[in-house]
Amino acid sequence: MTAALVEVRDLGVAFATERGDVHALRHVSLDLARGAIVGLVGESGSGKSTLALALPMLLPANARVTGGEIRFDGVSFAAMGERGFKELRGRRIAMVFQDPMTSLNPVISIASHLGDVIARRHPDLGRRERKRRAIAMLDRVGIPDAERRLGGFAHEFSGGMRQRIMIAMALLAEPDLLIADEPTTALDVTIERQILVLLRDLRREFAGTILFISHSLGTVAELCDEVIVLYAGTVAETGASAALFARAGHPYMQALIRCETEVPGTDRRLRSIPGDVPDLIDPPGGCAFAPRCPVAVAACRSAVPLLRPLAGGTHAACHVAR
Amino acid sequence: MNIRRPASSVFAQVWARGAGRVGLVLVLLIVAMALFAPWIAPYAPNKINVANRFADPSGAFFMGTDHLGRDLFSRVLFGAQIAIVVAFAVISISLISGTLLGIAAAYAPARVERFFLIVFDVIASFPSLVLALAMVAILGPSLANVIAIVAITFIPHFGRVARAQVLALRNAPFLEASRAIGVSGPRLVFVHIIPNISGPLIVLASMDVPVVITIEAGLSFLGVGVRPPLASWGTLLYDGYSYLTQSFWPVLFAGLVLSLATLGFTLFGEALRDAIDPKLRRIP
Amino acid sequence: MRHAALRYFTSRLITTALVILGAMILLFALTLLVRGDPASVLLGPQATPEVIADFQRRMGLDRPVYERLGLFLWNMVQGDLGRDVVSGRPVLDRVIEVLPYTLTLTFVSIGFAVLLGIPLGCYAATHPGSRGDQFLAIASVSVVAIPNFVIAIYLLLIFSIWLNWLPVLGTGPSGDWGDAALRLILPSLSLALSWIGYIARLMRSSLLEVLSEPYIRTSRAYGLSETKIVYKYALRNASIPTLAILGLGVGRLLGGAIFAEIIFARPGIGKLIYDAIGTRNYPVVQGSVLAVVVLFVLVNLAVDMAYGWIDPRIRAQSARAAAPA
Repeated sequence: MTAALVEVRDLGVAFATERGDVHALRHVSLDLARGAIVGLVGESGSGKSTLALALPMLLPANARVTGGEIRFDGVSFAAMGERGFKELRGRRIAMVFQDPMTSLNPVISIASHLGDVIARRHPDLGRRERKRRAIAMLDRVGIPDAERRLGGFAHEFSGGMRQRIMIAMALLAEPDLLIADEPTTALDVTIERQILVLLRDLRREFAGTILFISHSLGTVAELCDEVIVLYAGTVAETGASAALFARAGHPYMQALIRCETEVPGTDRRLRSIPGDVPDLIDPPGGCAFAPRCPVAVAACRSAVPLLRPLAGGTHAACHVAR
Repeated sequence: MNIRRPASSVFAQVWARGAGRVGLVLVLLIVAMALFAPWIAPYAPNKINVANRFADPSGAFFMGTDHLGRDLFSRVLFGAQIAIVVAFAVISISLISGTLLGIAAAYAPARVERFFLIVFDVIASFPSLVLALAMVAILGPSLANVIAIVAITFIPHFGRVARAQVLALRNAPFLEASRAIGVSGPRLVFVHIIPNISGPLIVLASMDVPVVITIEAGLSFLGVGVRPPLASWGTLLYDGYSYLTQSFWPVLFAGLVLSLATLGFTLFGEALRDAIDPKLRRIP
Repeated sequence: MRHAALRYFTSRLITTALVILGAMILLFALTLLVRGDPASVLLGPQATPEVIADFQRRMGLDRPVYERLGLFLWNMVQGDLGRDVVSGRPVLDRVIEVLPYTLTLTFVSIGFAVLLGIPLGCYAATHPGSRGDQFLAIASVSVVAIPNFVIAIYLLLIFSIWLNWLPVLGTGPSGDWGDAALRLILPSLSLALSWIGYIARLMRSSLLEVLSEPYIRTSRAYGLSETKIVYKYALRNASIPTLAILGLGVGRLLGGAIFAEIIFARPGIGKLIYDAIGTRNYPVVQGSVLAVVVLFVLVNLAVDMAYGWIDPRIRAQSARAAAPA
């Protein structure tokens, strides 16, 4: 029980496209501690969702693992095979996806969605007990009139309600790891708040690990114990939430925090880090952030920086940070 | 919205796919049969030679002879002429009138438009063959009647698509711009609208060719298509069917050539669709 | 919502009625195109002058066109499709007499098409690029393209003349159900083959499309078995286009049945029309064509109604679609 629930070592994932292989994840190493809420942040295209899909091996057909390994609860993925991954999904790993509009099957009732998840976790339960648990869980995640609405279909619910249903599914699976891939991105601000409050409340009842993926630093700071910052498919910095937000070492993380906090009143999306995310078909040789980095030195362009401890208590992949 | 591309690139795309290539070759073969029938055919298609009834295929008669001793190969060649003439005439008539009616419907007042749509629905609610059958039964069979009647049953098909395309196009910026600089009437229709809706219509037209060939052959099979001495593939099939116990060659060859023709046009039409507008679907 | 659904239902009902009315007017208009005296054409060459005179009085041929149309429609609506000019029997009776044969043939064919086409399409979609998939792609485009009467004659040639396996012609002695079923196999297959191919292709493409939807990824993320994902979570979505096409299929098959009925010498509405054309028995042609059209339209109406049952979204959508008009 001492080891982390998930250990990722030197993981590489590439997507085959018409223009060539896109290296979405490169040499990624990280740990997800048991019982922690880990935030995964980064710009779009930084590899957040790829990592989320790699953990239950749900990568699309054109993706392939180019190197490294993943260990779940001490067992290496290499030893598992497709059967082993299937064992993980829905029993030990559950997912809440970004878009609640398209993530629920439009012609299958909510009762079926929830019932099948329960039946997979507890095959011995009878129909009535499954129904009772489904209703109790819907009630728990804040679906009013759960008993009546259980027979309904996704299109009869609002976006926020659908995301609550997705969360109910995830919790019914009683997983060791719950992956929430930008669960609030597709929702409007007030609904986003409600879902976050729900997740924080559930925190007290749910014992497993949560991987919370977001591009919103504020949300992550509020919800997570630990944070992993991805940039262009590599880990830029990791550390305890409090330490990271107080004394970020990596220039990229510092820039992100500035974008989020400076110039109150202006639209967050209008502020950004100058420069472009590098082309992942032909990634730069040294530090991926070097071309946009204000403090880059010559070494940054030639050698890939490795994660190392900083004075602030975090780990950063940076030649310059101290 | 479809993008207009030069014909050469579309054909390159058709040729690039195996199925499209097979289709194109078959189509060219059938068209060549129709064009050169008088020069290729070893015998006059209607020359009766009762002494040679039900001859098996041989050097003298590639496909054998029918119940009147006529050379089947020559009759199949001339059958291609009828198939091609009917298909070309029917598709041209229904494509042109359907497109114009469709555009008219799109620009007509709502009430007139609804009337158009109901008329299209009524015609389309007849299974094509049954409608053609009813009309030929009353008007009498002839090549011209077959063409006219089958063409009518295909008009709604083009009319609806043309209307839908125009509706999708109507608020396109370039049309607004044309109207703003005073382009109107026929010029607007022929210069600005038709070229922009022609892609899907041409695809539909090419996909309708095998259907028209099938209907023509079907009507002739039922004896309400073209009249003797013209011999459609359908006529050959019916004659062969009537004497099936004496010789199966006529049925075998007439059916084979008819099938290769419809298969060829189908493959060609589908490849054309994939090249121009992959979202279109045709129902058998 | 219930109110809107009702409104959609009634608007579909009205369209259906309009289409049937239009079909009647078209059939009436066709008789106006006939060269010469409609009475003698409609009654056939055997009609005596007295019969013609009686017919003209009954049809009001001396009256203006719109009055005749009204009378024609009135008779049709009352179920009076006119009289068989050869036997003198009501056309309706003759239609009802042969209808069961055609309906059996049509529905057995549709049954074949669905029972074979859907599994084949599912197989192809779950094994894309495999040899089986490639073979199915070629086979299905071929059977779709080849005219059903060619298929019918080839089946007749192969199974009855060369192999002598199945009794093929006619419907067999009455009361012998086993024999009747055997005799149904080839005719219905000849009609069904192209629909098997078409449904397999349609099913393949729509299932592949559905299997790439995000909600299928959700099912995978929860470790549901591939069988359950395909057959419970994807098949229902993927079968909507197929269901939509079935209504049309029944219509096309009713029309196409004429070939199977003639080639395999079976009684049926197609054979009735065909024989009536041969004997210039126009009231029978008119009446049976109308019967085919009415059946076709009603089947399409039923299929439209069935959508809502299979796809809960449509209930809301169709209600919305009906709202403005």
